[in-house]
Amino acid sequence: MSLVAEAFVTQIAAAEPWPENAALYQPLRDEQILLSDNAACLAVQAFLQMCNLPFQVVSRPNAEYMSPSGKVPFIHVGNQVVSELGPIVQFVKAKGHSLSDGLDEVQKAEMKAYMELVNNMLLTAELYLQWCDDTTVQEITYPRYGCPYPWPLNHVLAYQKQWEIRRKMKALGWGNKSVDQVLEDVDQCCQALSQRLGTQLYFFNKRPTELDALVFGHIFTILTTQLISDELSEKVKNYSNLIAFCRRIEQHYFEGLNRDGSARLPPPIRRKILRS
Amino acid sequence: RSVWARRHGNGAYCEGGSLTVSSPKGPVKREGRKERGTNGSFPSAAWLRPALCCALSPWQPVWVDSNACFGPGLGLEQAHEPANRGRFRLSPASPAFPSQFRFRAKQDGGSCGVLLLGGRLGPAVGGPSVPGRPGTLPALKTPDEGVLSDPQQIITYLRKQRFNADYDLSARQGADTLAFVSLLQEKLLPVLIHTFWVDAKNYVELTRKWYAEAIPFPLNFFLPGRMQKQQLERLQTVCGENCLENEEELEKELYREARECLTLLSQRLGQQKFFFGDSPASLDAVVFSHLAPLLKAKLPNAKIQQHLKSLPNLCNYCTSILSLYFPWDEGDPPPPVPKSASSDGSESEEEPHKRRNQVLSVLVGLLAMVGYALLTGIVSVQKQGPGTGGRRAIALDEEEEEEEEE
Repeated sequence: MSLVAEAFVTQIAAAEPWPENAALYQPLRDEQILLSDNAACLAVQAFLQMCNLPFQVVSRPNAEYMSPSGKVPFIHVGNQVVSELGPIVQFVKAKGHSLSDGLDEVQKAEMKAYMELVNNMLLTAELYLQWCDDTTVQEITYPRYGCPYPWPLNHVLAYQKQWEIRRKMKALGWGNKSVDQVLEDVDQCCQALSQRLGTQLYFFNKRPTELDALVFGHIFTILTTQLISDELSEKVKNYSNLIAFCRRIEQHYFEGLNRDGSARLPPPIRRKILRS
Repeated sequence: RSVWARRHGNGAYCEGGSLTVSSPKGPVKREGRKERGTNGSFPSAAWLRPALCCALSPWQPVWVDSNACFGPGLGLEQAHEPANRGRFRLSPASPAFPSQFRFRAKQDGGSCGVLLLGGRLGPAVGGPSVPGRPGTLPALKTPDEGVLSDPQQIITYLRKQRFNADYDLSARQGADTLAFVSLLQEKLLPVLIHTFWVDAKNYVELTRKWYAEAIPFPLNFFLPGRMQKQQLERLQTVCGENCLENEEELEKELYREARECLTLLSQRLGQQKFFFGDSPASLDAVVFSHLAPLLKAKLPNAKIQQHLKSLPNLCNYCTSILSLYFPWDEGDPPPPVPKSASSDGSESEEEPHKRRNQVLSVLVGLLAMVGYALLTGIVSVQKQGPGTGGRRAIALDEEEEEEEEE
């Protein structure tokens, strides 16, 4: 989000309370959304649920192009549009709702650091697997990403996106990594998260923070998404406290809330991994 | 010097300009080698210059700190002393770090971290010999795995060799390390790139000058520009395609995040000496490597530097690491590393193409002389057959006469 917009947002936002008709836009759930986008959308949903703010989930095939930053999800609140978790957290904070107010300075620093860890490793690994692993690209990413568009356009857009992500991977030094190395990184990241969580309810004791929302979004999505192989979810399943953590947040914030449109989770078939 | 000698492994002591290295075969006396690349006027922090000028300047062998330990405080030399062995949990079977390692380093954050982590790796070598990815720094030449040029790979390799600064950390602290390294990479690294390469004033007055001085003559005109282009691309891919179009906004955004990151670090550090208490770990090496260039470089446009300077605990932290692990900071070139007797044969590795260069220069010289001789007619070529040779000589004479007539 641009700074001007941000300054504007913080000024205006403080004045107005959270409206009833807030909407969260994301790509089509069943046909279109990809692993990494789903993780991001779920994280924002979890965050808003944790803040106890009402919102509707709206699926649009062109959500990516509607978003001001080109990334999903984005929320439409009153007459403002904010995208991605970081800016949304700030925006919500300006409205007077914050999850991390109770933390001291050191904890805040650690929370930010762990959020970067998740973005840096889990998100990058998800992007890598869905755009750089050739079988996944052919069998899952291309058909799903291109599904709302007619014939020539679906290929063009998917190639364009793939090219962009691959360039990004190269810049991050992931260009030459093999799938095994990426999975190794995921394992390392999950291990760190698992160590940090320990036996606590949430990452910072009894109250959830935006870090919990972010971790939930990613871990839950990885666990419940069917890819070509189960390697990725197998890595995560080694950490029982992370699974228990996901189940806890799911039960606490998502169960029984499936009334029209609001926070929707994957269908039960996919969720059985979590239950088993 | 004494500090260095004391901290140095393998029982090496400095005596004036020369070194005595005790080896199993008895003391070997060796002249200290003078290092190239560390004698310039810029910058004041001597360690920074070699690190910087060997970055992407594979043409110049540069000294790189080799004595800074694997994680400050975990000096390898200490680890090799039997009394300390248990403490650092280096197994007795752990081999001394092979002296044939060659190490080069680069200025931007992550790489310097490896530099710190690198252990006593021996002097740096010039780059043309690095196969695979020329110009990618830092690079570590290892006997068994070839050249490693990615910081992460180097650290992993060193871990395999049982050089690890994180033995004393709990699992949770290990997780924290990973998290804070990510934080630095995402928030501070883009600003480092921006400060040194994108900010016009800094680039023209500091970075370009810096590299241009270190790189030999014809290359210094275009290499810095090429490096800038690479760094710009790197920044672009990190921050998004169009970020450079709206430079002012990008700058504001980047600096806001970096300031936040610095503040977070400062809060996390608090009044401790290192991030995890009194003994340093690999996180300290990484943080230091990101902060020190910002703190010590004489930037003409020093926005972020000013913010860093307003956080006294981070400044003290950098200064104390500098004085502890880079004791030759104040313009004093680092002392030469002694070589064990066994590495005698590797003398030629020092300058990988020394012999080739010698042969080449002799050849070129000879060629020039012969060419001159032929052109000016001091020597003329005669074929074996006396008849043709005679004719040829006559022909030459005629030509000369013609020229004279003209």
